[in-house]
Amino acid sequence: MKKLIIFIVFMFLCIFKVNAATEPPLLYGNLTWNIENIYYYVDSSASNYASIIAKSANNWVYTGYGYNRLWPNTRAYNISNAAMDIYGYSSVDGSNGYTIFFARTNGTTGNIYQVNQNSTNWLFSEIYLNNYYLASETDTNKQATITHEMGHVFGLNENNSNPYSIMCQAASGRAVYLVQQVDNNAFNRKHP
Amino acid sequence: MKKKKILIIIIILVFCLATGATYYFASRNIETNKEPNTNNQLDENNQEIRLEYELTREADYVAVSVEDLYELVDLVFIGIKKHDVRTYAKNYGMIITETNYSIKKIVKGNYDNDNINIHYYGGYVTLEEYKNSLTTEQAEKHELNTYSKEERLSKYIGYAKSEKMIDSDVNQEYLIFVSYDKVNNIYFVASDAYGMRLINNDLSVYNLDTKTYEKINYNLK
Repeated sequence: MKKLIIFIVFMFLCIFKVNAATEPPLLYGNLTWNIENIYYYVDSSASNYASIIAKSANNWVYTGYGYNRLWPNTRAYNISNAAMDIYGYSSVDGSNGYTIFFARTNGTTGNIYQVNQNSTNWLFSEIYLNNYYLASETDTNKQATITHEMGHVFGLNENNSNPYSIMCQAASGRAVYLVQQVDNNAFNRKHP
Repeated sequence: MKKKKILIIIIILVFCLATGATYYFASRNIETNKEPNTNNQLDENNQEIRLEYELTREADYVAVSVEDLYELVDLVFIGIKKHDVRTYAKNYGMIITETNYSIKKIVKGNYDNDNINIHYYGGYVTLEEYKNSLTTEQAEKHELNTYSKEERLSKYIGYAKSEKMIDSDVNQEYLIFVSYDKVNNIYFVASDAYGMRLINNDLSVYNLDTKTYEKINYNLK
């Protein structure tokens, strides 16, 4: 009987391991900006998040789960040097924040245009943080949203089946606020 | 002793299976999902408008299930789309459409009228209107100044078609979740298409994630 219980517990742990190890899918497109020269820009509308944004950015560099090529992922004060620009807004639109993607019409020249991240590479991204919902959230939940959105900039898709991935949406029960092993693995698949 | 050996073998087998399953599930998720680049919209006369720029986004929604949306918003109703009122850009490039709906039944909240104008992310605007919603630095980075004003007034930017973006039809019934925006005195749809769901004849509601119609726990009759 004792052995049977041990066996059942072991089976449960194994099944849990399957869930916890699900890595974020990748967006079809990718960030074409040199991943070893990434900076972010914070618009005055998002300046109240600056210290938390810095923590999120640092977490993507130093994940605690081994090496990735991201560097330095620090703040730029000139928008043209940044691979991601961060804005704040307020709306009852049901989202903590979102990311949009931009590329040039013919690769390296021509006008910047917004791009479908599931079909095209992008040159830079914009992250929008919604003050309406985030204002009442804890700093760790704010950090979770910002880290999640940065994951999109780096080419990671939603990972809603795994609450222990930063790429799980808040609405799907995200239980972490830091980059996890599965997220770092996905990052490394996208930027080997 | 023999039993112990069998137990160890079973444990090893389960471990191998679990590891294999982990690899399998992880591998499945490595597959990327490519969507067609539609790059066009229909205007009010059903004429195709070619978009110069296409806009898509990835959002971190607060609520997506019917139950969570019901808790989140101020007003839930069954509405029938009547007509678009206007499309405008604000907040650093968000494109928003205002649409008129007739209210068939209120499921949550109060609203003293048979018709309601609601706002949601969707539609298209001219590059000029879009540019005017950006900061100076943002407009420069987007290089919109390389277009003449005449070009900016004649070219369009809008949202790419996507299952998460609202794409509603006239005279179609939807279960709609909106919150009241006190600052702008408007009702806004929560969580994009999660907040505007198709309803079947048997009052089952469309689930974007499972792509099926499901019965819900609220009285829609």
